Amino acid sequence: MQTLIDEAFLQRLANLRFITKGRRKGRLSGLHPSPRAGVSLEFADYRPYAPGDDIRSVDWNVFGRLDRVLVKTYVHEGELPVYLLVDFSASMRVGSPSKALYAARLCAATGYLALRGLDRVGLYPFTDHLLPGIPARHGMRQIGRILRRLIDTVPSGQTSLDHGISEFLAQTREGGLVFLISDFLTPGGYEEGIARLLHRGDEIVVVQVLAPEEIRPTRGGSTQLVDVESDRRLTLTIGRHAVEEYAERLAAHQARLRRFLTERGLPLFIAPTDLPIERLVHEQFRAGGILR
Amino acid sequence: MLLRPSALGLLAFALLILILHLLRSRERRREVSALFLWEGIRGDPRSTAARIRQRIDLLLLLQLAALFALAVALAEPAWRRQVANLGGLVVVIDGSASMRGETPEGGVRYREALDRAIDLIVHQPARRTGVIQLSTRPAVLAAPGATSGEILDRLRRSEPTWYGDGSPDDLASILQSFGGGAAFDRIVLFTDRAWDDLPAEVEVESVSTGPNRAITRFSVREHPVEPGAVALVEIRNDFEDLQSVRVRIRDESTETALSLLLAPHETERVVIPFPGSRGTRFTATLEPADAFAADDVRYFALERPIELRVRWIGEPNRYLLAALRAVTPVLLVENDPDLTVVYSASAPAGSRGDLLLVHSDAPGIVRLGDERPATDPVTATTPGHRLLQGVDPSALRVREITELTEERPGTVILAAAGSPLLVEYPGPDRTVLLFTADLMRTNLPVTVDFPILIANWIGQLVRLPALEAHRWTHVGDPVTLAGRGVPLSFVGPDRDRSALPDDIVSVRFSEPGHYTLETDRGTFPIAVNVPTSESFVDDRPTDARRVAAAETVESLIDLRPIAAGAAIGLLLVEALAHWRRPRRRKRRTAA
Repeated sequence: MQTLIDEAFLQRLANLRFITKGRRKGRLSGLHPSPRAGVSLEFADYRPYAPGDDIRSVDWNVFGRLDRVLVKTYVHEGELPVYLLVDFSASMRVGSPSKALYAARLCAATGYLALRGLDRVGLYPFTDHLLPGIPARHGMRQIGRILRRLIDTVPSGQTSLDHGISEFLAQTREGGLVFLISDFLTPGGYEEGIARLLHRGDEIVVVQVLAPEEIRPTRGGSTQLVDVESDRRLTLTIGRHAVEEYAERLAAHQARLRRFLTERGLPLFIAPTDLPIERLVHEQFRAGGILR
Repeated sequence: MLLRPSALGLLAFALLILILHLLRSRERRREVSALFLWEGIRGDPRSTAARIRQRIDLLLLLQLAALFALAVALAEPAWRRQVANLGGLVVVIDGSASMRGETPEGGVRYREALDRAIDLIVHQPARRTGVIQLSTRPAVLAAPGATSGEILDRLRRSEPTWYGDGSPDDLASILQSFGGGAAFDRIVLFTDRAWDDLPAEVEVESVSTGPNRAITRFSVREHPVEPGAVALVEIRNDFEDLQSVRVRIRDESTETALSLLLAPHETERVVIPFPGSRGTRFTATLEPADAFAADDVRYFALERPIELRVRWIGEPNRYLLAALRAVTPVLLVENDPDLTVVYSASAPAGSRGDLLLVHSDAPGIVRLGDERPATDPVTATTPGHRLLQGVDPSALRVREITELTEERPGTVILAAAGSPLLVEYPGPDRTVLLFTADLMRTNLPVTVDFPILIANWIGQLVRLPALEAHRWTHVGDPVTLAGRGVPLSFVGPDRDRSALPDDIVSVRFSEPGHYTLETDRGTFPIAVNVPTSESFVDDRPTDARRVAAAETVESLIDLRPIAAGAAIGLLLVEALAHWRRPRRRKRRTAA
């Protein structure tokens, strides 16, 4: 646990809350607005008194002014299931620290944040299929389970977001706030999965984790490039031209991903592994309206 | 030069290393997440310089360098030079205590002498080389015939002694044992002092010295009136300027101190009261210490008189007993005495040990006869006898003299009216003294000579240590153990106990400090100091001696160890570089 996240950072996260766009349907009380009116401090509306209503909810000031018996209704604060859907394919091994380690730290931070907000949190690592996960539960004990699973899970295998998300949807019936964390370095294969998540009504936060050398590769003369997932090899002399051409291709790939997400109203957070998690959470997530 | 150049053929293996190196894949390996982003990219054209740069590998360079060093080592490299060659060389190192002092540059004099001696031996090799360490107890460090390795090893391991300076006679004697000084081309003495009367063939190499200040005398006595002691300290300042110093005196439990300003080239004597001290081991320290620290500390042992066990036979006599007690504390005992006193009685048959007979006889030695008046003055039949030291016999008067019959011949020391008055009967294991007259019929008890005479007698009989003996013993000087009982052991300054044989009569100490002699009679402190002659050495230059004209010969210095060491070092560096390279790659992969 200590290797993933430190206590000082957790204390700085304590005052943050997730912002959800829609009203949550959870029946248990939480800190997120629910479509059902209920008991809370946040005023929602007036409605005419009906027999059976609590006499204490009658607004006597309004009755004095308008001579109408109205009762006050309040926003019901429901809990929100938060799903951490993390890519643990072999490509996440790349980088120093590895993208997988960075993603694990991000999961630990967001999981802690959600559990502090009385939400249920579940962890669902995937490669080209869903790996054994942690079902969403309440309580701070859950963070321990999540951290142990993050530490125990070794990145390996190939990536298939569509397949992983498909299995995730099959395992979870209730929609929630989904953090989809991956390097998204596949020619495609994520569109269908994200569309299905949206169809179920999940709110999705997409975080793309990249190693700095993937964003700005260094020149290295004659180099044998090895794909860590497929073990395919390519020998190339990486000079200025090769680096420039790679940068163009990566930019096009990123633009395609961003366009797809923007069209669906989803934010994309790019997290280079040399960006401190604290800055990602405090600056980018807050600026993106994920946290308040 | 190379003694076996054919070994350079080993360099042909360089070609093999180069071929193997070129055959190895040169591409660097990089793991990527998305090969599809790289596919189709045209690689950059590589310049010739880049190709060469890529081909040149640190490991290759290290391997080639190691091969080169190995080939050179096998080719037996040597450096040829012309050196003077001697038939015989004797190196004499002054090993006296003053060589422990520092040079003006801050080094140790002995170490400087060693370095120069080693330099001489290395750069002017001789067929026979001997090494002598000269002091009051000279030692041969290496006899002629020892190998140069042995000589250098013994020289490097040698340490200066605490003894005083050796003498030219000692040196001449050792050179004689080497076959005579004439048998050697050079005899070089490394020393910090000037020498007179050295053998003519000895050259002197001076080791530089600096000014010194030292405690040259230190003694302590009991205060004559009050409890405590008084210390006398003499300090000499050899510096060119005033020296502010502090003299600290301490015994086993307390200490006292005195600050002084010493004039240049002056000797100062101070008396320092030490009230309340009941110690026996005193140490004087001069602060701050200077370049020769050994003489800034001096030791002194205030030996108290020992208790004399006396068996008294016959009539009591207060005069004689008082005289005995004036000499030393007396304990009257019945058994196991140090001395038996027989007064106007007959010594029991079979008595053993030293015997003082006063108007008494002893069977088997002497028998007393009739008494007769004596009017003639007392005369010394053996003038200057040690038993009469400080005594004027002509002042003695005897009213009656006793005739005696000797059964064993004795030495008559005093006589009166033609008869013996004081007779000594020396023996192999005991001494008997006989005063024939009745003490109370002489004027002896009321003369000033009486306690002196008794002290002489007791000193002769039991060999007492001197009263409040002022002990200042030098390193290497013999310390007589007689008069202190049967020696058992001594304890050194470092608290180590060494057993002593029963029949030992004297000991020598090789280091300064406080020692404790343990006997069956008790413990006796002994203070041992560095000889004061070591404090202020005469460093005027000694007359130049002849330097042997040495023939020049060719010498080869073997460079193989250097080349072999370089080869091993390069291989180790190459192995380390090779080990680090895959680790870096593995770390990247694991990350």
